Amino acid sequence: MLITLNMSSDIPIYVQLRNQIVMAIGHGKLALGEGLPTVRQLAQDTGVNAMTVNKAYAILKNEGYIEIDRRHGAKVSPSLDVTGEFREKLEGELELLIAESELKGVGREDFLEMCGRIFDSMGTGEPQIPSTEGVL
Amino acid sequence: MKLLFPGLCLFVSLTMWITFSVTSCKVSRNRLLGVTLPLEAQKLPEVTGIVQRYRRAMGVCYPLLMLAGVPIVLIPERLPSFYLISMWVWLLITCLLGERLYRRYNRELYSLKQKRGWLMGRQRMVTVDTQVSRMKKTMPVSRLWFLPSLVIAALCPLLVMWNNPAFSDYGWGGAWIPLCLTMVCILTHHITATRPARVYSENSEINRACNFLYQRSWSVCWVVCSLLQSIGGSLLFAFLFLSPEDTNEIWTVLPYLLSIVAMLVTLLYTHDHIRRGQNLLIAAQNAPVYIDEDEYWISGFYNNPNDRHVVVEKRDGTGFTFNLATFWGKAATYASFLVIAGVLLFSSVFLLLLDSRSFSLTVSGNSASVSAPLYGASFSLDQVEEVEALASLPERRRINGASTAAYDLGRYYVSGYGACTLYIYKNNPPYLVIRLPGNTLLLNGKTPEQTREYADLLGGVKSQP
Repeated sequence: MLITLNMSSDIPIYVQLRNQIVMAIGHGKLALGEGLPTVRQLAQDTGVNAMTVNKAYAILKNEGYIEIDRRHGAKVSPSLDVTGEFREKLEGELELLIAESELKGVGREDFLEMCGRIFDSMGTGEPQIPSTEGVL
Repeated sequence: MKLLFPGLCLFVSLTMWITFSVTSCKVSRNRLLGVTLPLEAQKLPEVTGIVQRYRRAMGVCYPLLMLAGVPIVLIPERLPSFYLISMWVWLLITCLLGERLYRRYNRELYSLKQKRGWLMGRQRMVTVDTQVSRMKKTMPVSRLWFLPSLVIAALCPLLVMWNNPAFSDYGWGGAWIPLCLTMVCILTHHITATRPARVYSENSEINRACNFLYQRSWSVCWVVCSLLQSIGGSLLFAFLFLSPEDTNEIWTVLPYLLSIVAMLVTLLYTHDHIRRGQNLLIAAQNAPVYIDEDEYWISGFYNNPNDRHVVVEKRDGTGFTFNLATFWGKAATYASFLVIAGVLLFSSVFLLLLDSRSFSLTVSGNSASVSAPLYGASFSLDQVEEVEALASLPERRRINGASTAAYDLGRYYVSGYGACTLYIYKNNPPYLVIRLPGNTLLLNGKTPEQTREYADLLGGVKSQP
């Protein structure tokens, strides 16, 4: 799986790293349980500070996307649980995104069509999301 | 020296010719003449035209430069400083001209690329293949393969530590060279092994194969080179010090020269093998990833503020260079230039001093002193054990110092006398052998009369062969 970092972007490197790994999991480019490079390996190959990579991995671990083993490095979590906390965060971010879309002239149907298209592009090996009934 | 320097300069200029006009004119990882170009642009007439003009210019320039070096060989050997300085100047001009010529056509091609909008990928983007990154550690051969060369190289200092009198003079310095060079090979192996994994394609298998080819080939190459130099260096050390009176220089240095040639062949073969293999792999797939770093190389040196690595692979040719955007990269680059300049300056000044000054013996009261550049000596006349006059010079081998057609100065291993300090004007007998406690001097004047004066000053010749 390729990770591409834009060194001249305003988005911090650790955020780019985190976002790309999450998208790769969603698109099926990273399978559940698949290994990731260690912090040191990734820092060496990207040329970024090891603490930056460490920060990205820490965020991913806290969010439940990856597990970190001191000996074997990081790997994608074998199963991903959707928590109530995530749903709240999702609603908050969607609210902002939808407000911006409406103001910029992207209507409801366009928005939903876009969402559908992106969901469809999340390829094989979709994360197994257990039923969220009774979680909230 | 008459053959050594022209041979060295011919070797350097041929290497540069091959590097600049052969390897950089072949497509390697989508690069031609140091410029990254898309596949469809590489065969366009305006691009191949620039490459052909560069080749023609090199084909004219380098033979002319080599011809220009011929008169230097005709400089008399009795002026070694002039000879050496001329040789260094010629070498410097050759390197600068070669670099300038390359840079001119490189910039022309880069301007064409910018004009035609052939910018490859997006700059300031870093792409990494996570699968390759994970497997990178398993790609080079283990450092344990350096053990045989370490053992062989360690034999030399061990021999010196046994305190063999044959090694007493500067055996320590020479004994460590094979070991130091082995450590250099290990360091180079480490630099290669920690090189960032490259991305050649969106296909991880292609990336894995290309990186594996690179890492495995170079790691094996460094192990082989280490072994070759440790064997060659140890044999040279053994021949020089175990049989110091054998002055057949060709046979003494032949194993070392052969090991150097074998190392060069190994390096060139490895470089070509990797280039061909990677080009085949890249051509076999249809989703190449182009990484355009031309802007970081435009000055001729690597200067990438987004890259934290201090040592990076050279773009063209074989070897490594420093990243000038890092502190240590800058320090190492400037330090290298200073060291080279220092060595050239020192050797030139040393030889100029030798050529301009003579060595002589003066006696004042009970003290005698020999004045000579860097090899002055003084002793008390009471210390003189014996003064001998020789009609001809014995076989000798230089340990350090200078040897020209006119004189020998420095430390030499002399047949029948061991390690001695020589202050000899050649072809000018007699030659005085002055035995002192712990040292032996061989000395003569510029004329036989002067030599006889020295003998009288020392109390006369006590024995003659």
